[in-house]
Amino acid sequence: MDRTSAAGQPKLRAALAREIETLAAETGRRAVAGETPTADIERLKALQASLAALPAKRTGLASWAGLIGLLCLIVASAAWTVRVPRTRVQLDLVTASATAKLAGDLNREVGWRIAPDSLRLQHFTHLDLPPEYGTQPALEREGSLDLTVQGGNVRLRQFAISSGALVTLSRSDDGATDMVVRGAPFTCDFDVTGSIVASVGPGSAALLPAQTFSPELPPARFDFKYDGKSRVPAQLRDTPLDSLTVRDIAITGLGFFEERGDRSTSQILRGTVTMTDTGEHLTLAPEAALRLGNAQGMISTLQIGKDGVQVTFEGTAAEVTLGNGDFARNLKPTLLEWLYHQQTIGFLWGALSFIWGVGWSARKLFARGD
Amino acid sequence: MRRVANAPLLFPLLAALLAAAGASAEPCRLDLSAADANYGYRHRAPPDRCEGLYSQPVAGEGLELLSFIAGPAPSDPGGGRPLTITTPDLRGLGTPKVTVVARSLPLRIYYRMDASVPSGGSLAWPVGEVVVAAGLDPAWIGLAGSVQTREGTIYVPLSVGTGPDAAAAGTPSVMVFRTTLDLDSFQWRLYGPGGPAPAWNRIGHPVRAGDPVSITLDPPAGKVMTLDIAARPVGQDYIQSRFKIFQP
Repeated sequence: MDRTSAAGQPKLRAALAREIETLAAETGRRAVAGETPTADIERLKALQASLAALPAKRTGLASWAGLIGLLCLIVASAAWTVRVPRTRVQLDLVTASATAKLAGDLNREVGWRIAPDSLRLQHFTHLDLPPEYGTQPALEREGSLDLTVQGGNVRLRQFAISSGALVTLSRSDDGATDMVVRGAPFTCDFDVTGSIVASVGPGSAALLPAQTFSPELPPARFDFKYDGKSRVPAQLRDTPLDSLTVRDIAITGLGFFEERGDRSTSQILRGTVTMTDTGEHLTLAPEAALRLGNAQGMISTLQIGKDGVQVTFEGTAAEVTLGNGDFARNLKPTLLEWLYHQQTIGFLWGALSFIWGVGWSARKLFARGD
Repeated sequence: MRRVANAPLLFPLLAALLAAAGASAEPCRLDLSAADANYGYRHRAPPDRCEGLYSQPVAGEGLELLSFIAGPAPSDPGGGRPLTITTPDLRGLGTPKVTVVARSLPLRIYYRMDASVPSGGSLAWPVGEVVVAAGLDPAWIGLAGSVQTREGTIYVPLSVGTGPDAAAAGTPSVMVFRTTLDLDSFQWRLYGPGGPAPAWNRIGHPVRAGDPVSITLDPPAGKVMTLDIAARPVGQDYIQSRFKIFQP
């Protein structure tokens, strides 16, 4: 059909309609008058067939149908591919190293027993020793101390780490643990009894006079302070005799990677990750490359012991991926998955709306006028 | 002539306004739930402070410093008059303000007042407004002042009375501590930087949980001193705390 004839279709359709209307009235009149208008009826059928044979009338409704159909497809595609901005995640894992950024002050009184021959504190800004040591000029310029104790015990009694600090807890293969703090003030206190041999600074260059603290008297109190301003982090290294459990730590970042050799590898030993929004539950293999982007939430339990660092975390993250490179899997749900698991009623109505919308649009677009 | 006649009335008013303006509230503790509408812990003025009873006890510390006062302990002045808390002159430490905290000495009475008072200034503490009105005795309230310096928190003695006069120089100070455990022994020692290690002083009797323990100190003036406190709960290891104190 050429353009000229297409332009004439409305007029032809109107003329046919008028003719059908006139003929129908005339046929009716004849039938009432007792005649048998067979020829008129045949002509009416022919006119109606001609009208039906004309192409369907395109109206504004067709444009709306197309728009709604397109919109349904766009929304469905977006829901299928776009991921939620943040997702809830639960972790219960054991790792050789964990790094977290504190969202609030962390101040705890503890009684962590430490092997008496293994305490090393490095890069603190102020050491406060028991008065039995008197004034030690070496302490004026050096904030590191090694302690070896015989016939007694060593306990971490209290620690306080300020909000914003980046804290790394790690366990090395020899069973020692490191607590590394940077970016915010950190203080800790140790109580020590027994015969103490202490040296200030790296190596044993400045040996402090040997002191013995009887277990019958109050133990020697060693205070350490780090102001958080130095680019060199404060580090506490010891070998735990029992485990230290800290609960309810608010954090704004969490990671399990550490540089070993020339590459950064996951230090996860075992555990599980649960995507709370979808109920997906995954078991983590050793060195599972689990990455949390911009994690926020609460470490409900942090336990440092001989086996490593046990972390139980509940919170949200902007990114959750498992695996490396091309094999990394994004665990964050799409909008469709999130709706399916979290908004069942909304998902049902959305799906029904989508099906109706697509069906209605298709019918309006492809149906011929009858 | 009329202006001159009114002048004597204006001076006390001006002085009272200045005294009231001298104190400012510390940010109120957000972890404390007010016990009730009238006497609950909240911001109050004048003078600017956070004061009241709270219902949710915060996690108790092993060994708490509740009071550090030079001179007599607080007592109800009666007649609705305020008690005057005076802070020492701390120009030597270079700190303009002293944080004042008042807490109940007996266990299980959850009262607290936080205020910030200029060094060498005073706070007219209206004890009738909350303490006496809530049925507490001002003698049950401990007061401690502290300042923040590069060395950390330094505690300074406060004086309390019905007038602005500070405790006379050389007046011994009394510190009051409390633990939530029964103690076999309570010991302390006070020393200065670089000085010899002194022997431990000892309270000669066991201490029951919650009982206030008072020690009298007469530290040398003008020096930051270190106070070590060691308490041994029954059947347990020592718990210790270290405080820096300054007597101007």
